[in-house]
Amino acid sequence: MKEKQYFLPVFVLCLVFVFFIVFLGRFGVLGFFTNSVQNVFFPFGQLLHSQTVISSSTVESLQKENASLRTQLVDMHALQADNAALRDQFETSVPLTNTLLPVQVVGMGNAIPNISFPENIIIHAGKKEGVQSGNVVIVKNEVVGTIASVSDHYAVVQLVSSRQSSFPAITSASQAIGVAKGNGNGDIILDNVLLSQDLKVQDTVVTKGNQDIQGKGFPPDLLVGKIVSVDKNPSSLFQKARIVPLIPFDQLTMVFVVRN
Amino acid sequence: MILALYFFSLLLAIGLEATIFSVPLTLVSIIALCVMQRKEWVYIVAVAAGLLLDSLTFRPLGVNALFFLIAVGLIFLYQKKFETHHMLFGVLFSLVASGIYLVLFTNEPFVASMCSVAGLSSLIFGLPFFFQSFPKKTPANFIL
Repeated sequence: MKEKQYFLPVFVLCLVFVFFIVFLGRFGVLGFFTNSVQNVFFPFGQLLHSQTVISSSTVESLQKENASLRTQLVDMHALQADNAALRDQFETSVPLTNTLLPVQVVGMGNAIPNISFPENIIIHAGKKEGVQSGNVVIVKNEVVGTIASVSDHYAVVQLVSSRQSSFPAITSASQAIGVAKGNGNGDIILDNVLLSQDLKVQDTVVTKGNQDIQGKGFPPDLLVGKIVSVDKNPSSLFQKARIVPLIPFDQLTMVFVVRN
Repeated sequence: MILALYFFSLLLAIGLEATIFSVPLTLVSIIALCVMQRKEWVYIVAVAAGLLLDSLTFRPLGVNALFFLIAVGLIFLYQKKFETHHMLFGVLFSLVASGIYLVLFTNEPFVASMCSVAGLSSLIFGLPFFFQSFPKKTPANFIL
């Protein structure tokens, strides 16, 4: 005899339950559930993530050396500018080390390893560790992104290369000011640069600084990347350049959150 | 034993999707579970998996659960009209559902994810089909 099936009643019951959960979720009532699930799953996620990070020692050491040389180049350009003493002071104090929080990377969002680039990363620090939405995330003096959303012990970092990212930036050599916009897949575009300003390939781009009164936003002089191509059209109002970040975001295992 | 393997695969899919891959592995796993088992409790599994994924991907709680529930609901709705136990139905439904899921929940990479889903669903639905382990429709359980 055929067993009677109750597809429709079960579906309706589940649908009501889900809508109830969505309703409760909007008021943040189920925060404990989210936190518990994250606490159980993310340690395994961290393990999986660490297994996928490719550790090629030669490439890694060359990348570190390259990043270090570019840092020195930025320092040199800054020293050549006027008011050298004041600049020097900023270089040694930005960002302040007592505001930095070292954090483990536990996951990547919207990415397939070695095929596509992550749009965001998940870190093992949240509200309980003093991380707030809008905090800047760095590695050494290189900008990684900003905190997009945060739970009790975890947070999502929106990378500077993500399409939602946009902040003022400046080239270190020619002091050309523009807006650095994430272009996805690990690329950044320096847009809205006046045609009269000089953009050069291999020039280093740093943050211009857009912190508000509460300290949220990017501090100045953080490395964004280097220019790999310039798109200059005489009939356009602005010129733009393609920037490649100096650090491989998809291989990060530890980052630093700049707390306010 | 097979059910335990299904649930382990589902948990693994949730973990991978939340941390490493943007491919909708959980959705494909739930579709596979639904096509192969065709029981009411798949709804509950879909909701539970959706809630877990919501928590781990920092999405509003319930949105993935709602999507999975509707996907499972559609499979059960069309099981009388289509050969839902056939390999092609599983692959095509996975592709269509994953396409909608990627458009709704992620920005990119669409093509790479769709290729992965096509390969994965062909493997999941194709292997049992070739080994003939799918439940077959017989006159005894065929619903008119």
